Amino acid sequence: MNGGAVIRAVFILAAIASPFLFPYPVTVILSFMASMFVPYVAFAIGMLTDAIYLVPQGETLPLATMIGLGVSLFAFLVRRFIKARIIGG
Amino acid sequence: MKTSYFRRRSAFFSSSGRLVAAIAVVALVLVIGIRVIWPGSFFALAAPLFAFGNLIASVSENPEADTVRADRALTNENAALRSRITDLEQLLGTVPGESSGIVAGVIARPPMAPYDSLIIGAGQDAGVAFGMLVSADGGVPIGTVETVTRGHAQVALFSTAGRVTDGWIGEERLPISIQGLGAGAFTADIPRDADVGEGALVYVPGPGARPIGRVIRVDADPSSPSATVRIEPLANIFSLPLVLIEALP
Repeated sequence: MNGGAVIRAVFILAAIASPFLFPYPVTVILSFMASMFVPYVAFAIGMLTDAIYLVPQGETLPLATMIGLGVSLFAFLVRRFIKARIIGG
Repeated sequence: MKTSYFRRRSAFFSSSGRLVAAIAVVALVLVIGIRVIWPGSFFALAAPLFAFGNLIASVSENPEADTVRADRALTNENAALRSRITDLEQLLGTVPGESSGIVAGVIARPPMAPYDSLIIGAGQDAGVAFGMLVSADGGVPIGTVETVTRGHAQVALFSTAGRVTDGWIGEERLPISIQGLGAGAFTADIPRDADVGEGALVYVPGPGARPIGRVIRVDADPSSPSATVRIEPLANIFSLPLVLIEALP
């Protein structure tokens, strides 16, 4: 296992554990960083957060899932842009 | 006519990307399904991680925090007792009985939770049921039980953004609809000529009228018949170690 793979695994694990351990702004930041490696991680963490904390009261929009989807799409586009740059020179 | 035997590549999605997207959609459907059919499953799975998080928090906690918390609890209890005395003086002869409840530890709270919700370490086995009233230090109501499993429960706080709770304001017990704003805060509309000022207490029905917050600002527009009051909570939802759960009368 090379260093890059270890860093990737650490970021993804930290992002997955963060809804249980850290305040939600930290979760958003970690999800964003993990999404730079695997774009769908933020979406998955958003779903996980809503599955645990969302209550069917008041404004019941699944905000965490929506934010996670937004972060994932953003990370996806950033990755494509970076890949295109690297290939294009 | 030329026939192309090569599939055109998508500008956005590679074949592996489509596979991952399909897996994500299936995962979404599964999560929603499990959440609907067995809402408490995620609490049970997450309990060890929550316990680990609380351990970290307890190690890094300021030792003066207990004193501050005790002071705040006594202040809140004073406010609750004062309102109860007022009620008893006004309604002599209809004295509510002492209520007993279930004490539960808070496993997860804001800001770990992005919504105004708590996860507590007591469930059906301890006698917790849907709709029970949840109170903080000093008997300040903070919400109601929303989801219950055998060992855990989820509490929807009154301050959940958009949640509307009927209550009263001021010593005259003016009826109002208290709207949650999130992060523990509330707002409510009152008639502009109502005699409500800064510092007035806001109550919700419990056993009697129980204070949940205090008016910190009254925004009145001369062109409007109503005024908006901004309410700060008596209980700090960001540092709740324990809660009391009671059945509503």
